[in-house]
This record gives sequence, structure tokens and C-alpha cells, in this order.
Amino acid sequence: MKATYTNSPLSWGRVDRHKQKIYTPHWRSDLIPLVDQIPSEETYLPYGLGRSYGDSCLNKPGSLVKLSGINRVRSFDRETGLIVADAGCSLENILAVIVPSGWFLPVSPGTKYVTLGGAIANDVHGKNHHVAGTFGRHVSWIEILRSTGEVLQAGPTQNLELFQATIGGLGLTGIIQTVALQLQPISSPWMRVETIPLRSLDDYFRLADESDELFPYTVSWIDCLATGKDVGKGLLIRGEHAPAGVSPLKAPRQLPRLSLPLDAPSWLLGKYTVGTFNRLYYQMGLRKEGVHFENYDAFFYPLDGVLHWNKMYGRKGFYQLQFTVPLKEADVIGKALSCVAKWGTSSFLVVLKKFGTLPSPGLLSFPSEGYTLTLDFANRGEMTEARIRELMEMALKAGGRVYPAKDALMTPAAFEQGFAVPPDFTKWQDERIASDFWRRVRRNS
Amino acid sequence: MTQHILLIGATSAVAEAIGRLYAKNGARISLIARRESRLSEVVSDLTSRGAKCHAYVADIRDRPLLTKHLDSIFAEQPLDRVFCCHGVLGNTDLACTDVNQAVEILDINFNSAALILSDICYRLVQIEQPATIVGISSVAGDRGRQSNFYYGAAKAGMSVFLQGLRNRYFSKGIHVLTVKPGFLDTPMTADIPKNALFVSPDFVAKSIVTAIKRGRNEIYVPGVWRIIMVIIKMVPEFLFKRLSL
Repeated sequence: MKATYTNSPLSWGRVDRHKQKIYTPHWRSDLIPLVDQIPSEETYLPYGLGRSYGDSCLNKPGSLVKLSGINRVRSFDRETGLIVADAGCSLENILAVIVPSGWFLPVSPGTKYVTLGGAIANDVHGKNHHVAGTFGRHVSWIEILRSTGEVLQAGPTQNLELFQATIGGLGLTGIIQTVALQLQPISSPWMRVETIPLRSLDDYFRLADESDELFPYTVSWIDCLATGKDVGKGLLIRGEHAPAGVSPLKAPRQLPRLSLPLDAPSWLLGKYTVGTFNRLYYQMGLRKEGVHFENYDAFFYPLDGVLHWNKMYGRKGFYQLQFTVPLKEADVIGKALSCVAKWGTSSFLVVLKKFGTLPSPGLLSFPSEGYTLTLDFANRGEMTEARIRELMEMALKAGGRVYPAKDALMTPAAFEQGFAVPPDFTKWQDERIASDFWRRVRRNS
Repeated sequence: MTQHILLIGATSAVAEAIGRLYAKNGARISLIARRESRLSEVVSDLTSRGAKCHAYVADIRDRPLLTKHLDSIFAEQPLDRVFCCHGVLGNTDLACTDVNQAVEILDINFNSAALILSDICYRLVQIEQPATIVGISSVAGDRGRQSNFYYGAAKAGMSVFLQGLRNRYFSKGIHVLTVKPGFLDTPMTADIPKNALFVSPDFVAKSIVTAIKRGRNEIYVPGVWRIIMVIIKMVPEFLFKRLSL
């Protein structure tokens, strides 16, 4: 199989525009010959749909093996809700198969345009982390292709060490080629959703606890430009799968599918446009205040309504920072939000969520009990990097950690502060697999 | 009764995308393809999506084997929809010097397609079964270009053959849809750098299903290719031959 080269950005933040070599297999039966064919001095990295924001999905000195072309379902048991599929299947693809039969993903990240393999490699989480934990908890088994050509099955009951290293393992233990996922039953494709305005961060902390007890899905959007006692102004959105037969009187409109074909000009993302957007979003949220029904698509994947929304941040791209801090360090959230408001940096969607206590099987899994805050920053060069580092520092000092799937700036020291890489992980790392992220954060070791 | 769909060249990206659209309605799908391992990957996928699948392994140039397969397929249930999706891009430079390459491009893209479709239409008429035949041609068949004229000539033949088929069997209740995609982002074009004109196989599949519902005779996918090709066809030959297209 021939490789192709591209200069177009391959990670969601679009900051990195260097040349990258890619292999694009389309059949499961192509994988072993491909791994065999890659020259032994060349490292490779499994790649899905490129929704990682930083460089954890890039491997510039070597190559990428793009798996989204191998995207077939192998079996789906409609009685037990176990689906077995190629790791290159997107969640969109899986949802199209399972929802009509009354099943749903056990855990959904904020976009359906990620692959199963990517969801496992980053051990993604969703609005239901407090009741369901991470994606990796629901994986029954996976098949991993090692660079030796060996295919190993791993799960909670077999090859446990490899399984634990691979969940959240950033693709470094081998190519995940098959995934068996246990789905959750639903009675309706509709969601019953309640939107509550938040006037301050105290509002949030009070309501978050109450909501987590009452609802399986909770998340908050925060207006990042609110200052002073308004810090934390935003919307708390909590929802559950609607019961059978309760269909809304009026079917909500499907959001039109828009696509940004070009990078937006950078002036568009000034303080005033973002301020206007934030105010509008808040007002629209207020209009939805109370209980309403919406399609699962609108509830789980609002940003997917605009394809390539990442181009909104202009040609220089953007950074996303997601960190977590322990419960007792909750005031870090307020401090971070005050900083962002003070800087007036442009962040369309700031998301705040409380992680629950359920442990993940993954050794390097990101979520841990506490609060997690997600912020976007248009790339304005060194100033942006310095600000992100300042926020990172705050989180790390408080005993938090930064999410590798979104990171492009962590130093080796920052990574080590957040994650202890156990020998069990190193043992299962595949020596032929490498990523730009891993080279960056492991420079010293 | 559920629809019976036949996918010829079932492991092509477009055929697979079409298969997925029909699978969710629980259709019966018969699949013909050359490579057994790939075919089995497609079959388990479509089966998981709700289709009842029957797989037939054959090289599209193997007439006797295809006849046997068609016997079994028709014995199963008469066909409602036939999608002829197989093809190879081939290597034009090689074809200019190597007759085997030239024969391969012409045989796979034209001869085999024409022969299997005429066999199928004959069988449909015999049992008075109304059906829709969809043939994947190409914009490459609208004008010969130095870079891919073996492929283009075969697709030109395909387009004319489909016109004739449509004309001949119109009164028998057989509808023929000619599909002329522009650039597709599929394994066939893996080595070609992509630009904004490339569309996904899913897009083509959805366009085809819509065109069937609307009873269209010929579609370009995406539609802008109809305009592009009108312009390209208007360039006079004395000028065209000097262009290196």
C-alpha cells in the first residue's frame, strides 16, 4: 500500500500544519500486511478522525495509519446490546445502527465524529461521567494488532494488563482493530432536558450536586466574559433519555447542517463578537428554561451541527485546554474563569462538569473525581501559550491534571505532575509506535 | 415482501454505501465481488445493519460462473434493484504499451458490465418483473482525455449502453438510471491529491437513492458536473487536442 503526504492540518486545533505521511487502509485484511510493510526504521501511529486537538494524533517523523476507512460492524446482538465493530467506525455510524433498535452508546463525548478506537485510546467521557464513568468501562474486549503482526484479544477477563494500558493509552500499545462495546438500552430517541440559568459559580456548585443525583446527564456552559460577582454565569443543562411513548407534541426541527468551508478571518473573533455570541447563547438558553424534549443529536452533539467549526478560529488555529481539579480545590475554577474574563480571550464554549468517583480500567485515563473545565483559545502566538500555561500551572498546583487529547503545550514536568506513568504501561508500549505528543512529554525520561 | 437488491462489485465504496442505505430497511441483498475476504467484511456489516445477505464470489469477467450465480440469485427472489458498481481506474500509460492492461480496463469497465446487465434485463423481462437498473458510469466518459482515455472510453460505452437499455426496456417496466460521478474519495483514487470537488461515497449513494425515487434517467454527482461537462464538451477539438488534460 502506498502512503500519501499532506500539509493540511490533521489535528482539530489546526495549529500544526507540517507535512505528514499517511497510510489509508480500507479493509481489515489489509492491516497485517500494512504493518509488515512499513519499514522497520519508521514509527507509525494509529489515527482515527483527527478530533484530538493537539499533537497526540500526529507523528511527523514517522507515519499515521488512518483507520477510519475500516468501518464495518461485525455483529450486533439486539437482545443483549453487545456490538462488535471495526475500531475505525465512527460513533455516528454506530448510532445509526443501534438507535433504531433501542440501544444507545454507554458514554458519549461531545462529538459523534470520533472513532471507537479513538474513544478508547483517549478513554473519553461524557455528560454522564458521574453515573457511567469513562468509555473504557463499557468495553467488553478489544483486539490489538501489535507491530510484530500478533493480534491479541484483551479485556477485563483476558490480557488485563494490555487492556489497562490500552484504555486511555493514546494509541501507543498497538493498533486497536476491533472493539466489543456493551450498549445501554433506551426507550426513545428523545431526550427530556431541563435548562437552568446560573447566576454565579455558587449557583453552579449547589445545583451540580443536586442535578447529579437526579439526572444521568449533566453539563454546564459558562459565559467566559462575565466578571466580578457574575463569574460563573451560564446555563446548567441536565437530561435523561425520555420514557417510551412520551413523544413531544411538536417534533423539534433538526438543526440545519452547516459547514465552514474556509478559515474565518481572524478579526471575526474579537472580544465583541465572542461577547455577543455568549450573550446570545445565554438568551437562547433562557428561552429554553424549564423542561423540553429534544432529539439525542441536539442534546449530545450540538457542535456537530456546524461541520468544521474549528475553522471559526481562523487560519492560525486554536488551543483547547481541559483540566481537572479535586473537589476540595473547587475555587481554582473561579480563579481560572476570572483570569479568562480579565484577558478577554475568546472562547465560544466554556464547559464545566463534575467528574464522579467511578474508576476507569485505564492506567493513563484522564478523568478523576473533581471538577473539569474546558476552554478554547484562538492561537495568537506566545501570549496565548503563556496564558494557557498559567492556567495549567494553577490546576497542577491544586493537584489536577491536563487532558492529553486536547493538549499541545504541556511540558514533560507538567505531564508527570498529572500522570504517573507506571511500568505496566511502558511494558506494553509498542516500540514501533510513536506520537508527537509522547515525544514531547517524555523528553526527559 | 422485502426488496431484493443486487450489488455488482459489492466491495466498491459506492456499492457498500448503497448497501448500508437499504440494509436498515431489512432488504434482501445479494452481493457479487471478486475478493472473498473483503466480501465477507461487507456481508457481516450489512447483516449487522439488518439486511439478509447472500454473497457470491466471482471475477466479473467469468461469464459461466456469473450465469450460475444469477440462476441462484433469481431463484432466491426476483430482483427489484440492480446496482452495477464495479470498475478499475487502470493505468493509461501502461495501457498504451501493454495490451493486457488495455484489455483489463476495457473488459472490466465495459464488456463485463454490458454483458451482465443484458443478461439480468433478459431474465427480468422473462418473468415480467419491473425493476430499476443503476449503472455507475463517469464524467470521464463524456470526453476523451489523454490522461485516462481507456477508462473514459469504457465509461463512454457504458453510458451509451445504459441509454440503449433504458430505451429498449422502458415499455417493460424496467427503469435505467445512469450515474456519472465526478471525483470520488474512495480507495480507487487513494493516490490522487484531494480537492474541493471530491465527494464521499455516502453522498453518491444518497444521491442515487433520491434519483431512483424521482425516476431520473441520468444524474451527475454532484450536480455541478453537468455544467462543467457542458463547458468541457464545448471546447472545439482543434483546441482540445492541444491541451494536456
